[in-house]
Amino acid sequence: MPAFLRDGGELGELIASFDWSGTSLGPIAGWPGHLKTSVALALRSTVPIVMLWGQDGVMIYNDGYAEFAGMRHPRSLGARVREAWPEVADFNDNIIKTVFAGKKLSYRDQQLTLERNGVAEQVYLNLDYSPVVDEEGRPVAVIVFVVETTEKVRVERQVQGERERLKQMFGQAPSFMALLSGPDHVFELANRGYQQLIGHREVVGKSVRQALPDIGGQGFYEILDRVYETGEPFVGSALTVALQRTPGGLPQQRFVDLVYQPIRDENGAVTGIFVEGIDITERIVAERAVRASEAQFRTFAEAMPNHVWTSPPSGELDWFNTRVYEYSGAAPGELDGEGWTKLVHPDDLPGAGESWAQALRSCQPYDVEFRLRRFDGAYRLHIARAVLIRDSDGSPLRWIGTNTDIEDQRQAYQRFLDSERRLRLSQDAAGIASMEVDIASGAIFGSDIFWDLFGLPKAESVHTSVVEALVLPEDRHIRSSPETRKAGTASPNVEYRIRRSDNDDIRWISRHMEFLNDAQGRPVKMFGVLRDITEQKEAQARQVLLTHELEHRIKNILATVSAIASQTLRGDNMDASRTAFNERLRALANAHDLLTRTQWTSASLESVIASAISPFPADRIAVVGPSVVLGPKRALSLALAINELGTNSLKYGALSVPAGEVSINWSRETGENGEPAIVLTWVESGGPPVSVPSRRGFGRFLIERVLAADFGGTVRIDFNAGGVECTLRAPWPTLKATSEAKSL
Amino acid sequence: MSDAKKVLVVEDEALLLFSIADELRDCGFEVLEASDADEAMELLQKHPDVGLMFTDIDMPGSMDGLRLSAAVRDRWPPVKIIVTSGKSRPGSADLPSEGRFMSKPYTPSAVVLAMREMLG
Repeated sequence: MPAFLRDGGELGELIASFDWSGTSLGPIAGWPGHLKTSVALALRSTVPIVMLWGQDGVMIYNDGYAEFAGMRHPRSLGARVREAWPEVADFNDNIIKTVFAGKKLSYRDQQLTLERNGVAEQVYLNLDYSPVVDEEGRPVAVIVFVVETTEKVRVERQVQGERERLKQMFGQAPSFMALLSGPDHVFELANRGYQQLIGHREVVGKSVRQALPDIGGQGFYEILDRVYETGEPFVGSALTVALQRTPGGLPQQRFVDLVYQPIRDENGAVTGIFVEGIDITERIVAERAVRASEAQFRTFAEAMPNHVWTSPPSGELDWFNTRVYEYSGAAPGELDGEGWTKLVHPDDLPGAGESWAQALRSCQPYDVEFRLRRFDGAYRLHIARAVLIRDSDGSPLRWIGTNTDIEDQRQAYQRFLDSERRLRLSQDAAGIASMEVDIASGAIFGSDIFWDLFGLPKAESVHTSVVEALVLPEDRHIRSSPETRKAGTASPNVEYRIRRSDNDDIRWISRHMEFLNDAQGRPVKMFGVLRDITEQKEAQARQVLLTHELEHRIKNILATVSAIASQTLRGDNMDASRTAFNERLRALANAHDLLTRTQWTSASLESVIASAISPFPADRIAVVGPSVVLGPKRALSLALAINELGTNSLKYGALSVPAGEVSINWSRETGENGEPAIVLTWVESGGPPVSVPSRRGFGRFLIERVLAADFGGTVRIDFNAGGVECTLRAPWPTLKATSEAKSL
Repeated sequence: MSDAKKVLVVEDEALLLFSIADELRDCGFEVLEASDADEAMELLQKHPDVGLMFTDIDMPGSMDGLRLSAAVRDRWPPVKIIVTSGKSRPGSADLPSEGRFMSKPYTPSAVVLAMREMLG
């Protein structure tokens, strides 16, 4: 073995045994000194070295390279590099060409794909190419120092990836972050959150004081200084900071929570500060808005005249406005929880409690009426209402309730009901119907009596035309029409006749009405009251008739009196005539009394006689006869006749002496024509001897002619010696002639 | 036939009928008495020489005094007519032409005077 190959490791031995004669270098024995020296140097280096000799790049390498070459070794030894590493042939051609031109090449972490062990693998190499020169300084070979950095690159890549991920996380973190270094707090990093907070200003590389002059005077520089000096972290919450949110803009107030965390080196010395925080401005603003709205609610609630209260969803009332305390006289806090129930009337409490519990369970509005005790002990009716307020995500927040005093309304309503009831009752009692006409639609709404009045079936409403059709055609012009209603010119008080719908009765209706106008003064409704005045109308007619009748009767009486007077007062003896006249008038008056009792329809014969004989000694006058009813004319006539007979008897006949008696009898007999007849007799006895009177006076005129004519029969007077006897024979009296009563 | 003026008195009230009839007789009239329209028509039928009828208006029966008067005016135009009533004076349309009205109560002398005037 040549001496220069000794101690050359495995490759020393291989080189020694290799047949170099087949290569451009020729046998070892012929190798020049610079070749041998170079090989000796390479074999003794621990660094993997390969030399490419000559323009064809014959490979000679050491043990280190052999290890690197893997399966290419030992075939590579003495081979031309182009053939030994065909996959990088072009690369190597270029190397050889460049280095032979006298240049050096150096690659760091050069990525190459090699097939050292039969499979392609990615490798990273540090490659240093430099020329080997001969004694004359001419390049004769390329010496390559090969250091594989594949493992180092892999580790580096991994670290780099992690850093990238961290950077991404850092950059995209929702909180704001920045890394400050050195005592001047120079920005190393600022994430997107931070950029957003400071209005996207370029801060990296600048000190805090340079980058953010707008926060000067707000204490942040000083805190950073202190953290840096003391190494104590700073934690601040809800800090106020005025910041430019846009470059050159006006500072805006933001609220932040933040941490200044000192960063220490391996020796524990502070080298920087990690800033991390959250912009809580939106939250603070929202909280403030809630507080403002709460204040607004309280103000509003205090301004309300109603009771206002609140309760959490659990139902224990926690706040009442001043009205509640004023009303109840309760002390603050006394009504909280279930304390309010002390105000509720004991009778109303179970219902109110149940409603409240029901509302709390169902979250549905609470709505209840109950009586609440006032400070003076009086209970007043209230309507309580409450609704559940929910927050933005729909969960129950609290109940807001009100109590409204409706005692006055309730009483007014009760009074209204009472008054309406009284009105209705009085209308019903008076038979007054009420109605309401909606002028636009023509619908009539009537009270119960309204329907009775027209004989219509009871209904909610009826069109005016239905009622109008019942009015008698000759009275229709009196009633209101659609035109007069719309114009408001319909007569307020009218009377007209209708034909009732149910039984065709003609009835008189009196109607009074008033218009209700709208804001423009146009009639919109007509309120009316109606009454059936048929009876009243008939009474009026009867009254007229009666007045005429009475007038007629009086005239007839006067005519009768006048006739009696002219007959009675014609004699010379005025005293006697006057007495006779008075007696005749009295007899007439007594008969009138009897007839008045029966409204001038009839009088019994017995009563006529009893009345007529009353001025005479009745105990001596016997009256016997069956029951007979006389009409007015006959009653009067008989009364006057009996008076004449009695007067005559008292003067000259049986009644002129104490022993004398009169017998008045009547009976029912059958007349000559076979019809029933009455025979009435006046028979005197026990009186002085009778003499036939010398002349026929008015008495006989009344008895013989008038009485006979009025009874339609005959009268006979006998002046018997034993006493006067008078006999009336006439058809049995009946009351068939109603016209007789009328004519009187 | 006598010279006495013959008159017919129609009155359903017997007392009045007989009273005025007697009064008229006392004053020289020949008097026929009727208590209703039917009787009056019968008497006029029998006594065509009746010169004047004095009748009450308000009478029962088939005709009242006004209808009787109208009938008499129609059938016996020369007969003078006086109607009387306790009621108010009827309208002139209801009175017979040239008829007179006397309200009740009347005095017999006023009736006599009226009759004498009308009978000439």
